[in-house]
Amino acid sequence: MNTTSLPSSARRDNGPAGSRAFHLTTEDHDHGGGRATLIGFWIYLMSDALIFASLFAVFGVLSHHYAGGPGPKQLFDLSLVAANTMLLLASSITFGIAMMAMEEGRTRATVVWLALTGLLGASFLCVEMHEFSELIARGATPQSSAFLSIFFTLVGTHGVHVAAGLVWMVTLLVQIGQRGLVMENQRRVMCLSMFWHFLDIVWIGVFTFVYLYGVIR
Amino acid sequence: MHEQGFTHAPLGRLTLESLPLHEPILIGTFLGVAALGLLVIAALTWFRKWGWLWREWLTSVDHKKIGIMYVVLGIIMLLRGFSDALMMRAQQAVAFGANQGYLPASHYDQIFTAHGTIMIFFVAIPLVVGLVNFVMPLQIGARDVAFPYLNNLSFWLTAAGAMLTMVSLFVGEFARTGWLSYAPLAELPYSPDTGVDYYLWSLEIAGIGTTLSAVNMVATIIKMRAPGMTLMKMPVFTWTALCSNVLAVAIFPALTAAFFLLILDRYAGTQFFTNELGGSPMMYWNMVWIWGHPEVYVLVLPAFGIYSEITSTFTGKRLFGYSSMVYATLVITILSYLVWLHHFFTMGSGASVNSFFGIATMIIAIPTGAKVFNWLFTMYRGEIRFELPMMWVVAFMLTFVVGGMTGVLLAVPAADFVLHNSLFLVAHFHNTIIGGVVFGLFAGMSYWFPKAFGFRMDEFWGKVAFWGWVIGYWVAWTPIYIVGLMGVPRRVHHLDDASLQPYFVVAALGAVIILIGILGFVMSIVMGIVRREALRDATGDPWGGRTLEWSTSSPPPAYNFAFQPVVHELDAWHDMKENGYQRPTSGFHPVHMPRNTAAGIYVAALCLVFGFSMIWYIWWLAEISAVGAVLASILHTFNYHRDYFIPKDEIALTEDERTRALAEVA
Amino acid sequence: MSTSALLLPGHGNRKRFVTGCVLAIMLTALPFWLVMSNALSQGATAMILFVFAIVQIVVHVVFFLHVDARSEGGWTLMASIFTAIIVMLTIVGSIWVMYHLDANMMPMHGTTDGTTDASTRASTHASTDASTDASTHASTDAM
Repeated sequence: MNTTSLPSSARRDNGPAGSRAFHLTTEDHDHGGGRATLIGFWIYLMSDALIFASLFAVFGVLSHHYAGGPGPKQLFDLSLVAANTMLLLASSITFGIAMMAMEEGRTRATVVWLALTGLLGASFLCVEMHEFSELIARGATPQSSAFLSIFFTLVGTHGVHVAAGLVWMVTLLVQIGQRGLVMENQRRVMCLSMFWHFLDIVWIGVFTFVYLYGVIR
Repeated sequence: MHEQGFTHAPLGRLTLESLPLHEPILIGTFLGVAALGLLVIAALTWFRKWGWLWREWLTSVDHKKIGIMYVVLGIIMLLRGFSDALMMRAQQAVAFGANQGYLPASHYDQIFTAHGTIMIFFVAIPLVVGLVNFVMPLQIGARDVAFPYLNNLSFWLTAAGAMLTMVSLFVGEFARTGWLSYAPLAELPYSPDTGVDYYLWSLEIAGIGTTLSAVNMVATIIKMRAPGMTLMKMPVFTWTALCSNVLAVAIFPALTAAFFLLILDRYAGTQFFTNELGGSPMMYWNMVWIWGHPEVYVLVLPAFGIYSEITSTFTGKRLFGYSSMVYATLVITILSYLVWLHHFFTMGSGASVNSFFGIATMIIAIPTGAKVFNWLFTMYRGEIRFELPMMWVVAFMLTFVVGGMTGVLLAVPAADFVLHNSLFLVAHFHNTIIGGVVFGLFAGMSYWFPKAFGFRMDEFWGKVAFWGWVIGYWVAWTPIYIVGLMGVPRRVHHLDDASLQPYFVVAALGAVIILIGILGFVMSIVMGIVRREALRDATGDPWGGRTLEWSTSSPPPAYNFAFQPVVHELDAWHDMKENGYQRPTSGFHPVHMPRNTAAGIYVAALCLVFGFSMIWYIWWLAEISAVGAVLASILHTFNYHRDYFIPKDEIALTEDERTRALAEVA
Repeated sequence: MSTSALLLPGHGNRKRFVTGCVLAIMLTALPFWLVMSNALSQGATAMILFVFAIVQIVVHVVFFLHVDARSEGGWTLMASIFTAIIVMLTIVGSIWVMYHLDANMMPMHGTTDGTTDASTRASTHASTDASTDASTHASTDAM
């Protein structure tokens, strides 16, 4: 795990002959210190994964606490969830295509595929908000039982993250429009890509353990 | 659904009644704080230092300045947290039998809650983060941390949380639920006032700051080490900083989630931790302690790192057993995540669960023991210099080990059934936190103070601080261990059995001795400033250090190192000194540095307003400040000009000054 | 995040991506179909759900996030594994602990052998009025 082996540019300092080089004589060209951005964002993402882990843990504990009210079998419309899942997965795919376009330096294609990703993400949110309002209209509110509290919170927190991703996406599209795909913007797109795929991973957990398993258990 | 009392009044539920106009102690405190504040403002205005303060400190992204600001915050909050302690001890010393003491129960509850909350979140964490911030980048030969702006934001978020807690002293009330604010007591039916809300919002805001800071430190250590500094050539303090911050990244999300769910219960009527409709209060305990136990290791690991650095420096020897120190640190990091249930053995999880966690808790004592042996072996046959930092190390070893042992005692579930939530427990964790973390922080502050400011702390007052703390700790807490064993519970403001009073009187005396220690510490800084010429550190290496921070001037220049250091061995500076290193005096080049920014302050200020308005149900203000904080953050991302170059002439000037200073000493 | 993987030109990268897409779609569609069609028993379906979820997560991590042992000198993988362990500990540990707590401490049931009746517990909760007793679950049903 060694990222810091001695570079060949380490030149001798002005010490006595035969002594080691204790400093570089040339400045490290690190393009303004962006080299830690990707690993830094990854570490942040790990902390976000742990927030979801906590919420999943609460779900695991409270998932049976219906308080005499409705449970998954009565509440979930699996075809709606299936459609939503496909929307989100499609948005991951379009983001992947956008990344390949960025990789090849095709700014317009990148922007188009990113915008498409955003549209798919927004559709996902619309479907989800429709689902939530339906449930609430039927009397299954977050206040009705512990199960519903954690259901709405877990799925809702995921939705809030998607919404944040969309805000970020719009901001980034504006910034790409202003400056093109400069190195800083490319790094930001890579970070958003990590974020977006991460949200799809969380959704795998949601549709499996909350919806599908909920219906069959 | 609960009666939530949501209003649409322009100031929410904030009224004139929220001000403690009938509390003489609070009015007095407010007047004192206001007077002090006005004094500071007047001084800043008179000496025309507002611009300097803004430019040089508040908007700085320099890790050294941010580190110092964290430490200043921690020391100020220490004074507040310790005042709470003195009040509690005074109450406990007199409140027996017919005498109800001077503090009604509801006040006492707020005081012990505030004491714990402030000491952990706004003293221990900022002091640790501050020291790591200042020292670690220098130790790894870097110019700053990986994300300087984020560093600034993290500080201001922590400060915002602290300020919000302090506001609760004068506007409304603080929580009465203990420093972890357990459900169901913290739920709306039982704590309807602003107390728990102050607690939750302060800590959510500060917690985000701590999480971001931890991400920053980990990324820095991973990516920004000097060429040649492999992991096993990092200073031990950097290793402990890495493990501590990795642990922080891992655990703060759990606390954030737990508090978030409690907030939802209190604001949205959800049923996570309520007593009805399926809620599980026990799950709150579970989640909060998943955070709570590793948290103490987040605090103590850097302290262990400080002890390692000081021990090897003041014995003039390389640290004994470097590899085993590293492995012990890693083992502690992992194991600390496997013991959390020992905080609620008595909640009824049964023998199998209790046994697992009890055994795991006992096992975690082993790597810590290994560390103690390594320090002792380092000292063995060394030329020990008992300067102040080393004195703190010895005090730590004698004090902390006792606390560790009482911890192992408590790890036995059967014993814990007797001792849970007794004063024995309270004595145990104060033993380990004071003996481990606090002594470590004082050791670290006295060790690195000359590096930060260019002169040492006053030796005499430093010794007053030392003896005050050490004697005071033992006088204050030994009686508490005893009464705890006898069965006295924690968090009670009055006892019936007057035969216990002598113990509490002695304990109160101990608290006063600690007060002398705290005042001594403040004086050691003040007198250090007054006598700074006599205490000047001209070489940058006043103790004969072994790690890279001592290769810089005291204080270091903004850019830390004129040339990127290259590392060959462990104890890099020692290696340089042994191998004829000569400091370059020419050939400088421009250095790339990050700009200052006000974005952090603005975002944190908006978060502070958001927290306050949520507490008081001032919805319109909450919406504006939330949107504002988000917008401010987005706006900041449009700033692409975050850096600049220090011209080589400026570098040359600074370095020439140092060359002159070193020549004068020689 | 492996930037080196992103810098691979041409079809090598595209192929991997397409593979990932196909796998992800299959690993999503099949569980949904299984549950909605009731084709297999409950136990078998549940098993397939869990396995497919894990596999699909790995697919996303490998094919979309390009996490491998080389990225960032191995730190990406290290961070991911560490996080996965903590995630497991948090979820499994919490469920284990809470299962025992509920079994031993919840009113109306709770023999130490851990038999619990979810529906009994649910009805107990539903019949509990909004109690102001902080220290116990105010179960008013006959014990």
